[in-house]
Amino acid sequence: MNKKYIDIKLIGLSLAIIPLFFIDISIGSSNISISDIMKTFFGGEQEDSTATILWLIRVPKALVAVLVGIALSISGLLMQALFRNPMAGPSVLGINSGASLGVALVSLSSGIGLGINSISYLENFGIWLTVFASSAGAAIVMFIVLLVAHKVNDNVALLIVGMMLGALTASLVGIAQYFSHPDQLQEYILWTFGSLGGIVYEQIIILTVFVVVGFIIALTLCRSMNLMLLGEQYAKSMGLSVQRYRILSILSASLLAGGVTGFCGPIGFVGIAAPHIARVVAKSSDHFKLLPLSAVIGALGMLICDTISHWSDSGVVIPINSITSLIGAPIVIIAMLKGRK
Amino acid sequence: MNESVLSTRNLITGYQDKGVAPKVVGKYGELHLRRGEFNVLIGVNGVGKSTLLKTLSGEIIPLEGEVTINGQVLNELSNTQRSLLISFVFSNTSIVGKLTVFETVLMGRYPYVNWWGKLKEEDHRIALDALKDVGADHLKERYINTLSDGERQKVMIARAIAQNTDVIFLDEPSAHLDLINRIEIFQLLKSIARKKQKAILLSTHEIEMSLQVADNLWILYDKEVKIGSPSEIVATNFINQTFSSPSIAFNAKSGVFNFCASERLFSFKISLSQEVENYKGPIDPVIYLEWELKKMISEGAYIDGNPQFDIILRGMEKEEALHWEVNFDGKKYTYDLSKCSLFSELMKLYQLD
Repeated sequence: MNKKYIDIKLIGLSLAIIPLFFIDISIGSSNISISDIMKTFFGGEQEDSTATILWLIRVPKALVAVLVGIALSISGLLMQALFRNPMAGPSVLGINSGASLGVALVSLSSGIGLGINSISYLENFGIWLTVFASSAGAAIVMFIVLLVAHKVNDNVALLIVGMMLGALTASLVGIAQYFSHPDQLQEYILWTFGSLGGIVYEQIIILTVFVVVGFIIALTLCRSMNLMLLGEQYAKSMGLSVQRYRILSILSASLLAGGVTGFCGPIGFVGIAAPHIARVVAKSSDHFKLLPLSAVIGALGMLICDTISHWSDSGVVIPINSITSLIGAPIVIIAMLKGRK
Repeated sequence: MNESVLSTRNLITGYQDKGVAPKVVGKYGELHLRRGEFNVLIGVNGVGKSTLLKTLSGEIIPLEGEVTINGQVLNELSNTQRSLLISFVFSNTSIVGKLTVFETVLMGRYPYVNWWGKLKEEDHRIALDALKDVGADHLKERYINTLSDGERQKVMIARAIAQNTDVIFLDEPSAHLDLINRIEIFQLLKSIARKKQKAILLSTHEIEMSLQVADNLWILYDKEVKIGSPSEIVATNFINQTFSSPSIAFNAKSGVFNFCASERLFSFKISLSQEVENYKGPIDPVIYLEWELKKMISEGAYIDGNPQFDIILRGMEKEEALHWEVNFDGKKYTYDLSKCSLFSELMKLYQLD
């Protein structure tokens, strides 16, 4: 009985993605009516400008929003289960900080004398360089954390290592900022605001591969995450191979969060908030229910945040990272208070 | 004798760190856990109970020897394979999140399903039966965080039953429970051992209770183990030898630990007079006397053939009251039972002297 109830919620929420997707692509500096969207999608006879805006700007942006929502919320759920701490998110492993360091080194490099004139680089290679730098930064931190996870059999130690790596990279970024030109600084700070835009279809395919692989690994971990609810001792006694579970969790979370941060910059709070809402909706901590629910809620949340970010008629886009935090933080508080009852 | 499920050969437990001489915790040689038997592991803190349990469950590799379950060497098995042979209950459960009792018990079936965790109708039936076995099926839909400590431990035991292993280990499962819950848990485990033919080993500090219900006691001392039935262990005065401390004495007849004082004050003799038989009040004079005796001993008085104080519990003419008659230093004193503390009155006399 309980199971069917959950399935109805999941199906309902999944279906809600479709209208929100259309709202997201219809709203913006030039509003496009739903009928125009339908004509563009299915009829093919539309003004060029509308079709261009839709196919080249709004649709990829909305697709990225869905992917980002799924990726960050699952990666948050994985970290919360691993560290048995509801405040854990993708950022606890220092992946965001690794990505920041990568981007800082590229965009601020001339300031610290690496000999790369970043402005001209960015003109020539644009987003690919940023994507490469942040992915590489995230991957290096992820590799260090995995190495530690392999050697140290203690989750609290792992948490501390993640936080320390975060502090370490933050200070390196600080040094790089101190020595760089205002123009470059602005470039870097713009990146830290996060952005769902400017991503082309080839990149969406790569991001999708990251998300699918991370999602599949996460699916295989539902059973282990449930066992971890009873604590590591009990989990082990019921056949959980803790080491394999930790490595796979970190790998999956890093692929998901690292991929997103690489393409879109740091986007906060989705990873913490979506699993919280999923728990309140499911009224359960069963990860077989929480995993799909978190993914769907994350996607919905990102679509809503993206819609809000370009709501204004004037063409101004509010940074996505600010909106997710602005909406996410109160939601986490409400979900926590509700969950305690 | 029942069939042995778990056996050890030349077992030496301990820890081996790189570059350091191994630290031996215990040399136990050959041990057996048999079907249908409720075994209790006792020993003072730090003697190696947890190390032994972890070694017998395959979590720690023994320094020497091997542990086998149904003929399979434990250290050659994976964690998942071991979870089909041994289930565990720990003293504290910190559950993060919302899980119902039934969901928790169902997790006992996880070793039997694949990574996708697809549970069958049969798994649900086994979990429900396990809840019934511990008398907790009425809690089925409750969230586990809302249970009392005693209820939660029963649910964790149900989960171990659902795991359906030949061996069940319990590491101080009653540590946080009140007396009634402790007794219930012990009785429950014993009946599970009998009815389901499980081999159970439980570590605890409840010696007095274990003496009453355990089939065998495993007493750890000085890196060794003494195994025997409670009657055998008590009758050989083994408990007093092992748990010796100046402040405690085991009374082998009553199966109870008594307090001893650190200093010896005075000697006494205490007895009941004939006319107490006429007493009609609410107190049982024999029991009253026994507990006064315990109190005196705990304060530092001792029993002697040539006592300084000769104390007699006497009845009175009214038939509803009792009083103490104390003979000390050739004089006789009487005290109303209900209006004074015998020991403090004796102390007054003793200090005056």
